[in-house]
Amino acid sequence: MSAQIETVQRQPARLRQGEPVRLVLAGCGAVTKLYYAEALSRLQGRGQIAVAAIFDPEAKSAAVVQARLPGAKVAASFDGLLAVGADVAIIASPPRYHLDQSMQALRAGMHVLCEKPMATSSSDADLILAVAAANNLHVATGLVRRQFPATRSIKAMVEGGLIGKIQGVCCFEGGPFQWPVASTSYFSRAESGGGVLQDIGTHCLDLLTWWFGEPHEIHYADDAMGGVEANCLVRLGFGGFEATVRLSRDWARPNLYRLEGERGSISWAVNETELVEIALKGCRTAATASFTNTDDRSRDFVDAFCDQISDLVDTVRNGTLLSGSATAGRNVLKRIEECYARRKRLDMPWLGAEDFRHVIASAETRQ
Amino acid sequence: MTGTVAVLGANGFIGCRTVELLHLSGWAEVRPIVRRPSAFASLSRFAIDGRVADAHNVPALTAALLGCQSVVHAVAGDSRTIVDAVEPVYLAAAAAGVVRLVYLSSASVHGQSPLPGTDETSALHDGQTVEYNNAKVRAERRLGELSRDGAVQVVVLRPGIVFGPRSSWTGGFANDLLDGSAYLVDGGHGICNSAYVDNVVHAIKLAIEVPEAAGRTYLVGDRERISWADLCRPIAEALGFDLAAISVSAPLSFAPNWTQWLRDGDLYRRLVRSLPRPVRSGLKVGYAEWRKSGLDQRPPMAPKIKVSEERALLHRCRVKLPSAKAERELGYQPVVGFEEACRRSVAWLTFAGYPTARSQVGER
Repeated sequence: MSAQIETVQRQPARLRQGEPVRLVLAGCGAVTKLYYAEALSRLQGRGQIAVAAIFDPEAKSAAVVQARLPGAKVAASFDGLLAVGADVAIIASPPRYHLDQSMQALRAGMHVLCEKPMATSSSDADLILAVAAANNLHVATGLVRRQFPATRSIKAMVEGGLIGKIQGVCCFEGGPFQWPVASTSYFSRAESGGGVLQDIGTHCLDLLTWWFGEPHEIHYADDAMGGVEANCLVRLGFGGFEATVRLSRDWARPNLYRLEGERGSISWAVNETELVEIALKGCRTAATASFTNTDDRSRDFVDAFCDQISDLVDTVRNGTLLSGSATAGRNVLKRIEECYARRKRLDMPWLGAEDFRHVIASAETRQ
Repeated sequence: MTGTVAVLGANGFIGCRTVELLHLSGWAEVRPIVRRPSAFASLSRFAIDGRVADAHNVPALTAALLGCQSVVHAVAGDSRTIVDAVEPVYLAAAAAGVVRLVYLSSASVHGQSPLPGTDETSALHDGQTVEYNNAKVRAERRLGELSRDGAVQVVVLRPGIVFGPRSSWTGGFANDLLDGSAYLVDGGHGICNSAYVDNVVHAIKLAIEVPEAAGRTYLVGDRERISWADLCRPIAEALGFDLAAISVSAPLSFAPNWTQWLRDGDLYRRLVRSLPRPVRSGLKVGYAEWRKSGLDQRPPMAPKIKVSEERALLHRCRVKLPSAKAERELGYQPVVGFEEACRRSVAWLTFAGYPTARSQVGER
């Protein structure tokens, strides 16, 4: 991939009010089948967008998604997808394609919504950002949890000082891995950029930096022994408190984020879109509060994907501020790289002394 | 080095630790084989040559087993899966030129409360009230029939209650304690035929390397004679629970378990298999999310304890099954004592995020 920044020849056509934004989608794997297809179908039904074409190297997968999006052509190649012409390209392919496909879409004059991670390294993300900036195009990253009314409310409550000065944060997220991946390449550092940290850690670290700002200190440990981590522990130092993050791909725990403040606590169950539990010191009861977005509509997980797409569509159409901007996607990649650079070995208490000797002697040299 | 050892069902509790131990010790080149790509999530910690193949698909399995000298059959599943997986695995192993197949059966073939004097020579029957036991009995029989052709050497291991990190007897019991559904029948004074997972893996290694083991069956377990209360106490103490408070009496009769009956039924299985794979995967993810959200949102209430027949029989067991034959013929000796096994199991609970007294995951 060339690092040269190019200015595209074709500027996007000016959108007319009332006309749906034309959109193409690359990648018909798990995230599309489970979320994007339904979200696009809802938005198309509302007349906000028109899905012009979709592409996936697996014809069967493309056909499954096309059945949900009648009217969309199935392109035979990614070049063919871009040739259809559109205002926005959604890149939902495996992470190793994010850089090339985002760059190509930008060069074709399209704004881009790229599923997370934005790229497999922050330097690749910088390339995408530079090409977008040089061509006056928008790039959004699929940091979908920012669309949840629950996470937005937590940000507002923290900033508003509801629980006072934050004293500590504890996040535990994981469970047996059940995402219906198509191949084992999902577990390859070369193809996905890492393991559980790169995967769900992207969402977790993004939320924490969105709520609290950039950490000034990072400690990191994981259980990778030649491969990619299935479990990891991150400690982030923020001004005056520490956030402990434990991520796992092999055992289900309560899946809870807990923020402790001097005046109370906020608890959020992972992927809960609307509910947050609040307990204030001095009060006899803890409350579970339900939040909706400003339009007062309830939000499920697919709605969050709708909002994510609408966010970029509104920005393209009206110039509104992009909430899931690619800068956030790039910054979280930088945090993840800093974690990997500081890597220590997670204590695995079931391993005997012999096991550990072998880990030290051989496995880690293969990293 | 003991050639290449394939581990079928490598993402399961015993399979996963087998891969980990064999790989880390350098004892063998390990080839984990799983049914779907997502099952590599935990195994991908290692740089290992793994394969995806369904245990019912002989050509795919044969291709996955090519170059392996031994196969460890640790496929778990419902009763039908247990029986149905035996023949394809044997045929694939034969076609791939595998020398020896180690089949992980269960001491449950003798029932949850075996009679005094039970050993490997005791007669088996498949008319037991617990369907899992019958499935294991039928699987062993089918494997015995198949191996008469001599194409692959078969060794059958019958471990007892295999516990340790990631097991249902350890993490599952901790979950039960935390959600209020844990119980011990009659205080858990019955004998638990425990087998710490590392001891089982040690038996697997011996079953692979001892020439005389071919065609034989072995009961394997821990050295100590322990009770169910002994097994559960360290977990309860680590989480701050009192075992005496969860003692219950078993009912006089047991109603059939309809969910198990449904899962084992032909109609249900045919219906599930008729769905396209992405739909099945999507439903599975959706069901897990729904179940999780349902559990999270359920208002706190006193849980109803429902004693299962299987658990009632286990908790009132009066017999310590012998590992004497394995000791005599394989040279089997448990490599991890019960106390150390409990220490490691509780330490794993801390690692996995349980609110133990030492709730702080460390690093080295």
